[in-house]
Amino acid sequence: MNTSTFAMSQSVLATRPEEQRFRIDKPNSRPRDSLLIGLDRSSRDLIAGLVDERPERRHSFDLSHDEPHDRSEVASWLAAVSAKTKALSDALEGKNLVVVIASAGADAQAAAIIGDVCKAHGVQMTALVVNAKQHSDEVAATLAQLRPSAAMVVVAGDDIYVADMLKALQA
Amino acid sequence: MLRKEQNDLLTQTGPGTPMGNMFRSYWLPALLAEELPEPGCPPVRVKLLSERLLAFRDSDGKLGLIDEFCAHRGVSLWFGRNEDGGIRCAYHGWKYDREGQCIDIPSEPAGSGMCGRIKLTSYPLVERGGVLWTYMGEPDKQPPLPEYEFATVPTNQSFTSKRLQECNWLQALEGGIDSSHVSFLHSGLLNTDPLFKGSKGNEYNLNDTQPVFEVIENESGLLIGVRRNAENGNYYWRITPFVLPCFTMVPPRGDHPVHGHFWVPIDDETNWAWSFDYHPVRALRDSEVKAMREGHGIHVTYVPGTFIPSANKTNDYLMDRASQKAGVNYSGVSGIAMQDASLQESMGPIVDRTKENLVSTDNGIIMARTRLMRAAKALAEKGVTPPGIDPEHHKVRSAALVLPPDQPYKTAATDALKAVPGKAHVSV
Repeated sequence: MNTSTFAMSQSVLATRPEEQRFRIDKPNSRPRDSLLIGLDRSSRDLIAGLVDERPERRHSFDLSHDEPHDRSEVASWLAAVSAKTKALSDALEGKNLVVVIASAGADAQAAAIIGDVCKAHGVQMTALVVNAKQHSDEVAATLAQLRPSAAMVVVAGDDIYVADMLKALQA
Repeated sequence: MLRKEQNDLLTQTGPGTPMGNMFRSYWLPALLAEELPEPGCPPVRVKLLSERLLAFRDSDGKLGLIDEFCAHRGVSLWFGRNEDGGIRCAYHGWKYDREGQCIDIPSEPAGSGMCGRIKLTSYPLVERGGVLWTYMGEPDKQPPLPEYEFATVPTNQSFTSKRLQECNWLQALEGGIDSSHVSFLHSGLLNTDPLFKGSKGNEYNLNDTQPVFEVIENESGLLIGVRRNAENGNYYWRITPFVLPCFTMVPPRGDHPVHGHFWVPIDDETNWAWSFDYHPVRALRDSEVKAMREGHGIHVTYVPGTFIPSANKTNDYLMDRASQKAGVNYSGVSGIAMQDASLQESMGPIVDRTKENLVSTDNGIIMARTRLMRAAKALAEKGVTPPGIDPEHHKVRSAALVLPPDQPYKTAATDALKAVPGKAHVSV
C-alpha cells in the first residue's frame, strides 16, 4: 500500500484486481459425502455410473427389494420395509447430501420415507426428475410425490444434468 | 464450484470467445433512448462485450453504432462533430456515416477513391420501448427484433433504467436467479418500499421463512419457482423466468408494476445492470414513476451526469452500521439494487468459482451455468442456435400465485407465465 491508496475507500481498495493475489489459497471446505438414490431402473443405472466416477465420495442406496410373493403377508412385507428403512438410516450416517433421482413418470412414493429419514438425520434432500421431455402429466405425477419431501426439486430435460450438479456441489 | 476453464468460458465475452460469440447472437440493450434524444445530439461512448464503440443520432435522426476510433490516426470520434448525416473527426475532418462508411476526407483530392476504402465496424442500433438495442453478430444471422413485454407495451406503461455494476456480468446475473438470498439480504424492504409494500404476497413471504425451491428447465432457459405455505394447505409460488443469455424477471407483488433485469457485459470486469418496471394493462402512476426515479424498487439514484449509482464502492456504498444493527437494512446498505451490487462487487471483478461451496438450494445457479455453457459450446461446435433468440422466448412473465399442493406450477401457471398483450399479470 502506498500513500495514494489511503484516499481510496475500503471497497475500492479491496476489489482492485491486484488484491486477488492476497486471497488465502487454502482449502475452505472438507470433502462432502453424498448418498444417491434412484427410484426407477434407469435412475439406478445412471447412479451406478456416477458412483463409479467418484466411489470414495459418492454412495448409492438401492431401495428396491424383493416383493413378498403374497402381499397379504402383511407382517412379512412390513418387516421388509422396516429393514430397508433401517438400512437407509444406516447408509445416511455421515452423509452430507442426499440426492433422489426419478425418471419422469416414475413412482416416487418412496420419497416420503426417504424424506423422513433425511429429516431425522438433519440432511437435506434434493430431488431430480430427469428426462422430463415426456408428457407433462407424467412429470406432474412424479413431482407431486417428490415435492413434499424435498427442499429442492429440479426438473431437467435430460439426465446429463445430474453429473453437472454433483460436480458443482463437489459431491 | 466450477473448474477454472469453465469459469473462463462463462465470464469472458470479448470478441472471439465462445460466450462472446453467443452474446453476439442476440439483440442486446445498448443505451437508453434518452441518451441520444434528438437529431445531431452529442455522441455517446459505448463499451459492450469488450468493444469500444460510439453511438450517435445523425442530423436526420438515424441511429448509428460504430467503432469509436477514427481509421486515420486512432483518435476517439467522441470528440467529433455530429453534422450533416455523419460524425466528423475533430483531428483532420474525416467523416463517417452511421454505418461506419467514410464519406469525406477533406485532405484528399476529390475522386481519389480513398474514402470508399475506409469503413469502420458498425452495428445496427434500433429503438424499441425506450431502449436502443444492438446486434453485434454476423449480419446474415441477425434475428428478429426483441419482443420482451416491457419493450412492447405503450411507453407510459414502462420505465427503464440502467446502472454501472463493477463486476463480471455473471456475478450480477446469478444474483437475479438466486431466490434464496431474498429472505436475508432484502428482508425489511417488503413492507416499506413504495413499489413492494401492501401486497398479500408479502404476508406469505414474511410468515414462512423456509421457502422450498423448484427449478425447471424449459426451452428458453429456466423457471425458478419458490414456494411458501399459504392457507388451507396451499402453496404460495413466486416464479422467476431466466431467458438466455441474461434476462431475468422478478415475481410481482399485488398490483405493483412487474420488474426485471438484463445483465449486459461491458467488458469482463463490468456490466450494465438494466432494470425495468412495467404494468401490462395500465399506465404507470405518477407516484410510481417518481419512486423509481428516486431509486426505490430495483432502481437507483446516480452520481449526477453518470449512470454510476450514488452509493458505490468509492463511498463504501454509504454503509450504515446503525441501520444494519437495528435491522432496518439487513446489510446496512440501502435499496435492493445496491444491496445486491455491493455484495456482488465485493467478490472481486471476476470471482474465482473454483473456491465456492454451492449447496442444493443453489440449483438455479448451477442449472443456469450449465445451460449457458452447453449453449455456447453447441453454437461454437455445431452452429446450434442458442435458446432465447426466438422472439417467442421473450414473451414471458414472472408470476406470483397460490396453487393446490399437488399442482406443478409449470402447467398450472402456463398462462400466467406467458405475456399476452392487454392481459393483466398474475400476482398476489
